[in-house]
Amino acid sequence: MNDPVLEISNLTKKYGNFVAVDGFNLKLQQGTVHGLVGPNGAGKSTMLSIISGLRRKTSGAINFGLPRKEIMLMPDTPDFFGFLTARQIVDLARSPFLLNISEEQIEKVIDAVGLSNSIDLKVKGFSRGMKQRLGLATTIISQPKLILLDEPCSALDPIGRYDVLEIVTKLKENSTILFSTHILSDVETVCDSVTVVDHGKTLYEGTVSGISDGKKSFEDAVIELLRPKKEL
Amino acid sequence: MNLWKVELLLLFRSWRGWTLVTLYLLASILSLLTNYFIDKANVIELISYADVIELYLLFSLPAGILFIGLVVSSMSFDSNQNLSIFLRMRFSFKKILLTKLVIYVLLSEILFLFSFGITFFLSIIMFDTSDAISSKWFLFGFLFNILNSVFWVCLITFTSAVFKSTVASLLLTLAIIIGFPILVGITTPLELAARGLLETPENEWNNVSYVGKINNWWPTTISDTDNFLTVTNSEIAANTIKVNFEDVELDPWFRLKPFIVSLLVAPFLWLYAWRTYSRREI
Repeated sequence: MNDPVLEISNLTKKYGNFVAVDGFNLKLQQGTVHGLVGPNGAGKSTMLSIISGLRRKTSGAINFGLPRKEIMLMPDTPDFFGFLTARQIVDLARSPFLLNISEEQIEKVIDAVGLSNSIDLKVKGFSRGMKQRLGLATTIISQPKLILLDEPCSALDPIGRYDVLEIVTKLKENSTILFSTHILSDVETVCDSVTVVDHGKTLYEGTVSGISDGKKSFEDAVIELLRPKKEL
Repeated sequence: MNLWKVELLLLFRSWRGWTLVTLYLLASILSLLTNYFIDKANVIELISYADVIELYLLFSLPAGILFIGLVVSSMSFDSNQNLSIFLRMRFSFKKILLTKLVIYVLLSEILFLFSFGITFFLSIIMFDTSDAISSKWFLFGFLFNILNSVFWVCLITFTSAVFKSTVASLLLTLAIIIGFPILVGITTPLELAARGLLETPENEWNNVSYVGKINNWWPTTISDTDNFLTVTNSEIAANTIKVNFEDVELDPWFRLKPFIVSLLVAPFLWLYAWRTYSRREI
């Protein structure tokens, strides 16, 4: 087996007395899609921002099997300079990574995320869903090897969601993806493995199929893990 | 597309850049027109071109304040978390910061000199030039102007780094630049009155009052050296210049104290800003 692309051991993040991430462990092999599932405030976005270097960890170790510039994070509500067009934004996003790129390549990426009709429109008029699509375009244009997607489908309509999941499946050929989401069916569709987190703690880590005993659906098994046990 | 173009487009595809250019040009036009009408009204016998430039320096203050606001707003790029993530995932904070600073310092000097030049040449044509501006003092003033802008860069980088919010950073900057001098203006007579020293001549207040003494060392007052840009031969002969409507002895080092403070403080402001930007969590 190859060296992992990302190996996290005992990652902890504290804000004063509040523990946002509590002893998180993860090992990602190349070409896999790993889902990160949990309720609001579970610590998913914090984990992704620590991995991407935007926040500092309190303790633990993060080892990368690739250069840091090969990592890209897409936040759940991406934002851009409103006075630029989608084409200019994607061109700006590629500029630090790829010196020369043809207009066709930029157009191809924008087309892939379903924004070809808005390619020369200023971003200030974009809806949240359109910004998420553009966020995905700016993420994949630099061809990163490790992609961190923070709830990439949260503002998308069903067709948008379908498109994004299809892109994620294609990206798997060249990249490794850590995919945070609330939508459990998305995890079933694209992820090879999953971590269920709540209050910063890992409740389950393993394959998508391994979470249930075969009798329950994936969704039921996750909800049972997350729902507080009622005392009888 | 790159960061340089983005910064220029941000300025000139919005009200920001054009308002700034308009304010600088307006300062130039107003200083010329005001003196033209005074000349027409024969209130003053002869209006010197140096008077016009002095008025231009005064009228360009709003443009200067708008400029500071634009720089602070641009430097507070972390105030929009998601836009900041877009930038920081792709560009080092060093590159983001340096791009902004280089563009704004260059723009500031270009706009100032451009409108200064227009005022200078038009006032030579329109007004009396018998009392010539000293080129030596002009160059000395220009040197201070450049040194001054280095301090401003450090100060604005610092105030933008202290808070993530643009408004908070802007208020802090204005408090340092405008707030403190206003406070000094109000508290100095109060302090002198409380100490029974209100009879002291006004030009001595800053040497008698404790608040005034602090103001003598306040680094932003080095911008008073802009008055060197318009020193005329008659002022050299009289050995006085007007600074903030007061006669001051023509001394090249009359703002030596704030200059020393600015030289001492600037590296610390810059280091604090650098450390804050590089360690700031999104």
